[in-house]
Amino acid sequence: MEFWKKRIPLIIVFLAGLTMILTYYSSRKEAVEILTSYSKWYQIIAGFALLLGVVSLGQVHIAKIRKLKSGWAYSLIMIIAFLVMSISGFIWGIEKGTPFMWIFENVTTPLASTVFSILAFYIASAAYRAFRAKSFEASLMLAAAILVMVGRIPFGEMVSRLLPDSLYFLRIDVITQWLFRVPVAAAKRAILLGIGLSSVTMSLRIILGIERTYMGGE
Amino acid sequence: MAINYDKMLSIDRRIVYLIIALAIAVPTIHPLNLPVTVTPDVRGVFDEIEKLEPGTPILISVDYEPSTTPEMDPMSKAVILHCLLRGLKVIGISYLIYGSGIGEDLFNEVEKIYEEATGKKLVYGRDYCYLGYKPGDYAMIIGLGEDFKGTCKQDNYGKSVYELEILKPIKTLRDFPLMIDLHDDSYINYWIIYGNERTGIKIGSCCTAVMATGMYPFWRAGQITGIVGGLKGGSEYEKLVNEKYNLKRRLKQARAGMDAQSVIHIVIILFMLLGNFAFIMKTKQSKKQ
Amino acid sequence: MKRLLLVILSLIVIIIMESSWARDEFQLQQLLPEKIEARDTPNDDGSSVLVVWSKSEAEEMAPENVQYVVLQADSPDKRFEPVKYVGVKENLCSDNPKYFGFSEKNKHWHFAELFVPMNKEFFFKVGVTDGTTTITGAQIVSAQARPNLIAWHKLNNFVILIMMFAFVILFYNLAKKNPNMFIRKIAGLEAIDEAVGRATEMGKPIMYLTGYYDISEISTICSVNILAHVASKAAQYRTRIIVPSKWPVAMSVCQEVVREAYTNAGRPDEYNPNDIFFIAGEQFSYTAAVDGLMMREKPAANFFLGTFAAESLLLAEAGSMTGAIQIAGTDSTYQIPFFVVACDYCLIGEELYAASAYLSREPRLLGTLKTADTGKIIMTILLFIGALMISFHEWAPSEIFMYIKHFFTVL
Repeated sequence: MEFWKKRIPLIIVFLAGLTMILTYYSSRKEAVEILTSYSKWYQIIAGFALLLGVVSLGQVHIAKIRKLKSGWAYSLIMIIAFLVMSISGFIWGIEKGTPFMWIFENVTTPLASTVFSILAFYIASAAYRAFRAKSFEASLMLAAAILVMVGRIPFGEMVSRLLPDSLYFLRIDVITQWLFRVPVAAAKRAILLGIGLSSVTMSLRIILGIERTYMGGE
Repeated sequence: MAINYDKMLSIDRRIVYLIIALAIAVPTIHPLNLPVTVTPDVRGVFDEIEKLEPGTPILISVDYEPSTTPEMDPMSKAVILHCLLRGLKVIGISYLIYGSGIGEDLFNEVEKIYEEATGKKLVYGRDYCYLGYKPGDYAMIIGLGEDFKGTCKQDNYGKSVYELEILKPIKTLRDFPLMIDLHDDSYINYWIIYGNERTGIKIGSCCTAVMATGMYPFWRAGQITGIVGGLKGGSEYEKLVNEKYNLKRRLKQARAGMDAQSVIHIVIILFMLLGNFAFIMKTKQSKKQ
Repeated sequence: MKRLLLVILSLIVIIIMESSWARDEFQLQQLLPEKIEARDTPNDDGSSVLVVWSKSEAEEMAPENVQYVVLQADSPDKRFEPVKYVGVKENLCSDNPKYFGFSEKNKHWHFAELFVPMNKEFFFKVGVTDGTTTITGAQIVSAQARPNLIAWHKLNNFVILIMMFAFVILFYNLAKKNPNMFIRKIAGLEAIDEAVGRATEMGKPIMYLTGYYDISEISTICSVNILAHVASKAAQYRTRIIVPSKWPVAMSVCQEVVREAYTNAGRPDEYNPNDIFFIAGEQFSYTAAVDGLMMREKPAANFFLGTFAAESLLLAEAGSMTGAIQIAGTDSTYQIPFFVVACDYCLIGEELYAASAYLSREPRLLGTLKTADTGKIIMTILLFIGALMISFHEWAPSEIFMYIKHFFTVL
């Protein structure tokens, strides 16, 4: 069992990882073909795994409806929506003008936009709650946030224009641009560099079989 | 009368939400027409398109989801319209399954705007085409770099790409001097790694405001030519197109959104100041006690 | 008399025009390159060849309509057809370090990349044209496009990879000998046990999200590694753990990891696979469902670990409404600010990657963390040297500077 559950997957990970690394350093068309075929294989396997997802979805929600657990009505709506979308897709296809597409464009899309638009409200409440000048760093963050928020709107530019040309560097939009281009870009680069190096190390750990927590067990 | 700072600090979220809703609704209904100034980030995309000779092919990748259409659509329309006004051969594609419908609507709408603005008719397959969603994730981009038509096979409407006149001179991604990625997530990373790095195609980024800050390191490193970020970037782009091409029907969708954004930014700043005032006063009060 | 004057005038005009043509032709001839070379494009898949030619001093005086033209033929005896036009100030070899490197000499050469069938010899000439007249040099060069097995321009990347490989193995072995390697405290990871403990005390569940992407992303694998630790704590304390998933593959991996954690804790019967379930692949359907779940189940602790997109604040703010202790960690630089304001703890970037080693305290994993740290030290030194060289390159021997620049440039 250990052989099938641990050894074989580790060998597959090692070989696949090594192949992917080597293809990166070759210019031949064959290398590109290997790279793209790996991606296609992953998508095919993930496609089959979707079935697992559907089974899981069914199990969880049907069990909830059966036991009339709190929120069972939502599960019922989910099952009905799932069936309507699947059946309409199977019968009439998913091209433009079909019932599936109509539901997608007129129900799914507005709903998704609605959830996304809640972000505006949540940003306001989170900003109100969290942006407190509790320390020097927090005060700095607060000041930067205010500057960027003013600098990114026409109002900030209008106010800035009141300044004479000799004080151009004090214009809020100019400061905002500078914040984006210098400190923000520098900090992001530093974080990205750390992420890049760590992900290389992590990948090597996985390829060499040193890291295997993701296979279950520590 | 003593002010209850505790109450101020733990203000009911619903009050915040109500004020935000009003701050969005009022300027949307009654626009303020605030002026727009163009930044170098946006100019980076505009100028790169201007540098191209009429008749040059340009690739536009529609990589955003329905939820971000209110933020992405205005700038996307402005950029595509700009390419068409410049006389470029516009070829649309999408990395995302959602891009199929979004891109189709986008191109249809831009076609109408173009015809209204110039009085000229566009011919699908000659002046522009939309290839729609192409599966395969990053492998699709690698494929485009090897064999463009072989990877695409059909356009969004099921027509063979070999029948499209606009694609006749296109063999690989190398035949495009520039592409514009309209994206609401980090899909541009794949275009940079597998498109720019492998074939040398230049990339311009048009993205949501949240994504824009993350694009600056790429811009500074020269991996992208410019950034059109959020409604602000969109409004600047609209201004550039309006001014350069003197359109009869001026673009103003992003600019209209900027009014609401301006008000909401000010409201949030006021909230932050109010919260901090209450916090400082409460700290002082508790120190006295 | 009038006729004579007319003839003289005509003669003068003809002479002037002739001389101007002669001057034009002379200019075009001046532009003809002295040296021409053709070669296979390096580091490519065999789809093109390069023709390079020396820059002429007369380029500065050339009018705008004058261009170089590259002509191609199957054999030297056949007719040469123009295949590429290059502006007199365009396509300098120094513009394309991927093919030519960073040598100063590149500023004196032009190039044209020509896409030709693989493994077949083609012949080239370089000429000059002003749109009406084209003159070509006598020199004929030839080249064949061949695929290159090794992409030499990625040598710098390969060296760094080998270095990282060596460091991983070195620190892995060092850690075996000295298991007590120092590692700084990461507050977010220290708080995991506290969060699980709090949920246990309150008798409420824990919610764990692995992020926006599938298991093919490293960040998701890292998140699953942390899940293994959280699940084993939850199994020990008999606290329910809910893992709503956006991807079926990630879901099945999470199920396996949690099952293993319960088995290791000696409570395999308490493992409930229905608590690790698939919700939806669509971003905001998933977000809405998880928010709803938070409101109904009121978990005492929320973990948002992995790559997140626009849903980050929607999740974290909904979680904060329920009063849960929240630990987030992401490598998505756009979302870090949202998590910082809305969560109690936030793992920034690489801290997420370090988590499995940090939590397991497995000396060999801890050792490999040193690899990334060493890499960072080397990078910092290189950045510093690079900044100095860019600032003072005028004083440095330029060819050496160019060579170093070449080695550290991603092409």
